[in-house]
Formats: sequence, structure tokens, C-alpha cells
Amino acid sequence: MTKTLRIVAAALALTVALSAESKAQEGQWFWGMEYMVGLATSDTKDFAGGSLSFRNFGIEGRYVASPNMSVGLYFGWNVFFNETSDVIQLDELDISGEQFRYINAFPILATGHYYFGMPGGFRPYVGVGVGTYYVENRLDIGLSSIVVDGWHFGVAPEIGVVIPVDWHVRSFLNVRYNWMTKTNDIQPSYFTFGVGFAWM
Amino acid sequence: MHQAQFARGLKSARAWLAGAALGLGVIFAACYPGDLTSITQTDVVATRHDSTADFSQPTYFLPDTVVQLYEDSTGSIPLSHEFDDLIISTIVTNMTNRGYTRVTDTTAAELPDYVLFVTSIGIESTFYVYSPGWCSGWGGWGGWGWWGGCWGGYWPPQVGSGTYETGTVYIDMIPGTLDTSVEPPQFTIQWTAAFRGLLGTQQSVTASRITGMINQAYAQSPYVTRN
Repeated sequence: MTKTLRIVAAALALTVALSAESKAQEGQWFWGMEYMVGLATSDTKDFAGGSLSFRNFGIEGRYVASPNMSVGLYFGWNVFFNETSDVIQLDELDISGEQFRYINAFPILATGHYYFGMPGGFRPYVGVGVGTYYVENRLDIGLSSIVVDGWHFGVAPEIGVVIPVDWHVRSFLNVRYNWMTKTNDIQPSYFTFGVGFAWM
Repeated sequence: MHQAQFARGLKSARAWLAGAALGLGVIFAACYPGDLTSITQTDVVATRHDSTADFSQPTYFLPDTVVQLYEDSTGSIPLSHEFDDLIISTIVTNMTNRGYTRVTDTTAAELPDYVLFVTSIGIESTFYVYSPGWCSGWGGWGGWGWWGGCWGGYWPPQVGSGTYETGTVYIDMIPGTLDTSVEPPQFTIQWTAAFRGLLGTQQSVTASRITGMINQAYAQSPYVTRN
């Protein structure tokens, strides 16, 4: 077999394999878990500070609708925490003391993703989640706690990359921006930088 | 046979509940990772002012007494008067630094521009705690047991209660004369400072906290000044 024939044969074999994998993945669910680092913005940053948050987790399922698209569901848990002695100013009232400020956000999103590249390979993707967030803002000061919580409508555009590990397992990296509508005069938003695994 | 199955089932249920309780404890700690580590962290200072008030006049009157608000029916408790002099002297120092002059002659013809009243109240509060009793018995059941015993919990879960005592001091600043533009004539509070914390037992620490909170009340009230 000449060198050219060997290359063509290898290419054909790869194409058949990728096509087979592509077909095999279609109609399947991928289940994933991710760990994230959070970075607060806007009202979330004003309340919980601008430091990175290391308490963020997510689980999701993606149904492979076609070789380049998936739809699914995403559940997350994001915690932002800030200890501060900043004076709280409310019109003519000023309050000072050691404060523990917490935000616990729980996104529940329907998702859609579009993948570039070939199935089974290194696949950059773009996606978006749409749904609701339950967000609890809690301020502990002195011996008192003040809690403001509520449900927000939100969207979460996302970019990422899927990295194959083996036939059934993928790892992924992503950046997601969580933006929510205003509830109780609070409009939360934050970035997450995630790493995770998915399996079929 | 049935007894053995029941025992295994009970053991399994207990292990599951203990695991669930541990999980809930971990989740709660993850939700709210902050922790009070010293009594000073319970101190809170609140100030409120009338933004239309005039703070530019020179004199004020401040009684030497901290009036204690005490009623049995409200859960209030008597407070020691050992820090009254410290409270008064710290207020005087701050007022002097802000350019005010204290007048002490109550028979003088000219009234002071402001009067400061200092009051205090102690409150005893009750709190309830719930101990899920996690890990209790895991070792004893011959289960995982790798913690080598218990962290001090009990099975079944325990509910307990306790009390804590707080002290609050109020400083009210009012004009030296009645506002006769309203009917009936009245005093309008221009500035109020309130500070509260857990009551401690160490005198030097309490004195430092009181001084710090009064100074903080003035620090966050820059409008209380003649300078």
C-alpha cells in the first residue's frame, strides 16, 4: 500500500469512527458536574464584595439533539461571602459593626448549546441558559440577621470547550455570565469560571 | 430472623439519617461560612440624625448620670453603673474635640444650645439550638467508625436553649429650647447614637469596647461638629 493510500484509508477510518460516534451520541444524555470560581458584579458585588468566590457547584444534563446541538437542564449553587466593617448608610441612618454578608444563589435553567468541531474531538461551544434563580441575601450584624430573598428571571450566556477523555467521558471548561432581573430592588449578576466532567 | 432484619433496617435508617444530618450541617456551613470569634464582633453602633438640624451652636448640657431603663416585664435586666463615668467622660472628650463647650451651671440665665441625655438598658434573651447528633453511634454500631467516636453529639437529636445578655446605650441630642413653631411645643431629637453588644465579664475589655463604640458613633457622624 502506498503512503497516499494509507493516508486515505486512515482518513476514511477516522471519518467512519467519528460518524459512528456522532450517531451513537445523538439521542443520548450527557450528565455533568462542575466546580466553579465565581466573580460578583453589579449589585452582587456591592453587597458581597469583589473577591473571588470558591463555593460554586453545578450539575446538568444535556440531550444531544444533533451532532452540533444539545438542549438540557442546569442546576447550580453559588455562594458569595464577604466579611466587612463598612458603615451601612441609609439616608439619615448609619450603622457600623462587623458584618457577615452572604449571597446564596440557585439557578434553575433550561439550556441550549451549539458545538463547533467534530464529535469526539476538541469542541468549543457557545450556549445559553434561561430560567429562574432563587437568590438569598443575608446580612448578619451583631446578633441580628436580615434576610432578603426572592426569585429572579435570568439568562446565562456561556462559552466553553469540551475535551474528550474517552468514549463516554468528557471534561469541559466554561465561562458563564449570570444576569438576573430585578426583584426586591436587587439585580444580581456574576461570572462563573467552571471546570467539570460529563459522561454519557 | 425478623428481629435481626428489623435491627439491620433500623441501623441502616439511623446511618442514613446521621449521614443526612451531617450533610445538612456541611451544607449550612457552606451556605454561611462566617463565624463570630470574639465578643467584640457583636458590637453594633447606629446613629441617626435630622438632616435639617443645626449643629453649629457652641454649648451643651450633659447630666452626669446614665439613666437606666429597667422594667421587669420586658425582659430587661439591671446593669452595673461602674462604666457610667467612662461613658460620660468619653462623650465629653468627643464633644470637646468637635468644638462644643459643656455647661454645668443649671441655674444660669442663658440656656445651653443642646442637651444630651444618656440612657442604657440591659436585655436578657433566650435562644434555642438544635443538635442533629451527627456521627453519634456510628462507631458504636460497628459502621464506618473511622472518626474514632463522636464529636459530642447525642442520639436522638437534641434541642436545647440558653440565654445571653446584651447592653445598649443611647445618646440623644436635643436643642436646648422647645420648638414653639409646632403645637404643642416639643423637642426634636437632632441626633441619636445607639450602641449595643453582648455583656462581657472582663472589665478592661468592656471599657475598651465602650470607648471604641462611642468614638465610632462620632466618627460616623461628621455633621456633629462646630469645626
